[in-house]
Amino acid sequence: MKLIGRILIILGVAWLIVMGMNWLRMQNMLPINPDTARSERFVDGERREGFMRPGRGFGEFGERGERHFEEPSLDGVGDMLGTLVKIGIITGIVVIIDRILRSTSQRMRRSAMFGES
Amino acid sequence: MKMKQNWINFLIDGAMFLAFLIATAPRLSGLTIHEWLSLSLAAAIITHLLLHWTWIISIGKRLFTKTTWRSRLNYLLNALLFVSFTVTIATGILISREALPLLGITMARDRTLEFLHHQASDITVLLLGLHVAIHWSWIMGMLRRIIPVRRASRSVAVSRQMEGANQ
Ligand code: HEM
Ligand code: HEM
Repeated sequence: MKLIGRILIILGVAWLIVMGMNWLRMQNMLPINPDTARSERFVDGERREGFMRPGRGFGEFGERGERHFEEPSLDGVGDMLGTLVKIGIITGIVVIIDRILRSTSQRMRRSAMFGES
Repeated sequence: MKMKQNWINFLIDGAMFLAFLIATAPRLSGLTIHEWLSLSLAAAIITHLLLHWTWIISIGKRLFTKTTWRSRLNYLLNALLFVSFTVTIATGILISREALPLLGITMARDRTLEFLHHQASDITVLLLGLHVAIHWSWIMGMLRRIIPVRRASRSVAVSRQMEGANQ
């Protein structure tokens, strides 16, 4: 029971966030809207009508041809390594800053990193 | 926290990290794997949060009263991480072309949502870097238990640290 309750709380909070996001989107308060999105990434004016046609079939997804990664491909390995490098750099910088802060701090309470006051 | 729990967390965290790396490269995995893997990552995140429930509640309770600024910052970071993951996964579900159609749901293509999905996933990468950084000493401590280090003094220090760290 407790477990279900907690899961519902997590999902509930997530739901509120999504509602909030959607509200911002409807109010056009997000920095992006269909126009900016189009100009930034999707310059494909002529074929647009086709994409947005209501009730389009499943198969039509394949031929949209902007970027297609329907099939696994080793070309994408760079994207993954890119993420790894980004996370590595951020982690490295923060860990170094943390070391410096700690070594200059008078009270070096080691294990009290987080959580314990 | 008991050591066994630490190992469970370590395994789950490691699996989540791997899944996340693959999720950021749909070109590598193909769209089908991208969608299903990310959905299981969502389930793993819920598990991750359930396993840290006492932390969430106990730090949350004294967030505005008695706690360190580090702890507050970490709480804020975790909250932001939750928001960005939620937005990434929610927009992902909304633009889904493999998982959702399987349930018979197809939606008109929405460029804003696609753009949002990219932006949110970029922000998530950044925040996850910070999240990993904050737990770096814990991660290294666990790794040192797997990869034996010669200096005995070090592993003693590590095991002390493991007893003290995390709650
Ligand atoms: C790929 C995703 C993630 C990875 C690899 C990851 C990794 C970790 C690690 C290594 C720890 C510390 C060790 C432990 O006790 O388990 C931790 C703790 C924690 N994580 Fe994550 N995490 C991820 C996603 C998230 C998300 C989305 C949230 C949502 C808010 C989150 C919230 C927390 C909390 C609340 C704690 C414990 C409290 C703390 O000390 O910060 N994590 N995570
Ligand atoms: C942690 C979770 C996720 C991350 C980090 C993530 C990341 C990304 C990234 C970086 C792209 C862009 C690929 C590129 O342009 O090279 C992408 C595309 C996409 N993702 Fe996700 N994603 C996640 C979750 C999901 C989920 C849960 C779904 C659906 C169930 C999904 C569906 C899609 C689809 C359909 C595309 C293609 C959109 C397009 O053509 O622009 N994603 N995702």
